[in-house]
Amino acid sequence: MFSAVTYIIILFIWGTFMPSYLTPNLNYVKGSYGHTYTRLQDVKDYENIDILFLGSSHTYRGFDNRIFNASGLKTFNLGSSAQTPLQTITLLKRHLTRLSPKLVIYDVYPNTFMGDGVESSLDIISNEKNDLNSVKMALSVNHLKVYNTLIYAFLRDIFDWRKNFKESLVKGDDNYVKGGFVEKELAYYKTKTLLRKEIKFDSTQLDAFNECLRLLEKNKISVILVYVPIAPSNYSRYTNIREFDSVMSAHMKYFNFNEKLILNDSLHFYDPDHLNQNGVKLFNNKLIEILNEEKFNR
Amino acid sequence: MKVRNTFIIFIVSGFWHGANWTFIIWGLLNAIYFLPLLLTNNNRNNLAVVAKDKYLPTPKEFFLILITFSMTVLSWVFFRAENVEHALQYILDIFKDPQSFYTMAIYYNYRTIILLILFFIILEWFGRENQYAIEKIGLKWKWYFRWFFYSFIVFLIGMFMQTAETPFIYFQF
Repeated sequence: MFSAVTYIIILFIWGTFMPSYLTPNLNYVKGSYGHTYTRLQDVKDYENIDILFLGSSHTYRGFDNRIFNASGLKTFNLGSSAQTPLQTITLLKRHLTRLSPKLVIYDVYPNTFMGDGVESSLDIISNEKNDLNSVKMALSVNHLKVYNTLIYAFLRDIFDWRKNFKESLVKGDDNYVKGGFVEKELAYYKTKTLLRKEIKFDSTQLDAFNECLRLLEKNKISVILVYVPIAPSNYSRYTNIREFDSVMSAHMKYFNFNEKLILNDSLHFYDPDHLNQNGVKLFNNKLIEILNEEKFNR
Repeated sequence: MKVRNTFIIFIVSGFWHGANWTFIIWGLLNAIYFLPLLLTNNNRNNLAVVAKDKYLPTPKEFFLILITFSMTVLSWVFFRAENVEHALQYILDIFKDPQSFYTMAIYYNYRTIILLILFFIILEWFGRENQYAIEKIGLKWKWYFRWFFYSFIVFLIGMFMQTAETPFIYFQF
């Protein structure tokens, strides 16, 4: 008991005063890359929305709220960097009841089913007040860095002297748009050769994914799964995309937009993973068209 | 006879780790390290704790510690390498650019690990007469100071241990 308390006290003092190179297993960054802090503050202003977007950076950089708002849809983008199903379920448990969306659009990116979820756990732990759901998430991820950061974050939540922390809406070439979208200054990707990659599902992530879908079903919320377009040169590296598609189709209504849209590496993307604003417009308009056809949006 | 048996023991020990020339060379190197002691009949000397009851080693003792440690680490390059070519390239790379040893930037990049190594060398040095380094450290302190010390070591492990996946070599067997 003495050792546990001492560990926590040292962790708090060390984490507060030591430079980052002396805290390799503690990664508490408020206002980190991707505007997670602002988004998780912003979400509190929303309730009874039409569409909730969930997923990784492909989500918060891929679904532009302004385009959906122009079609009369009230939306919120709850994506966050490298978000895996283990973090999605945590965020849903916190915000679903208030947001009460009619439809959830869940971005299913293969890498999020293969990752350990450490990076995104640290992002969410650092940028929103922690609760029992954070503990459950940490136990599922089961990584020392996540445990250390969570303990530290709990103490920061109690003693935080940076309550007035405000994240700038414009950071570098990122511009936060109310509703969760982050617009990147227009840039173009120069194609590079990428190594072939096989999609291998992590069973913990798959369980969390199923839990998300069950929670949404329990709340009688419609769900569609979407594979947001990635640069064609990146998409073609996956050796078993058909297998991935069939697993996703077996769960819910699923649209793989890499197959539905003809996009170009250098015209519609700013890196191998993310659409530039030209790509976002094409993708979002196509999605709205499908939503109208399938009568999902009302 | 003694020399032959020593070589057999070390080479078999190397071979036990796997059917790879790297392990054989690792064993062979260790056997060669023993050769001067065997030939001069000094192999049963130097078994006592170094610099017993003293705070610091003599310059000669310090030099011997440094040589022993360096030779052991050199043999570990073979132990851990994918193949002999890889090991030789690794060793060549160490000596290829001796200027880099005098470049502070190299040490700056590894400042955390250097600080930790220094801390644990000091700990090991003061606990060198015991089976475990911290076995007798703090026995005369107040209990809360001693437990604080233990907790601090646990904390250092929790803060600095390698958390990325690194396969343990014995998992191969």
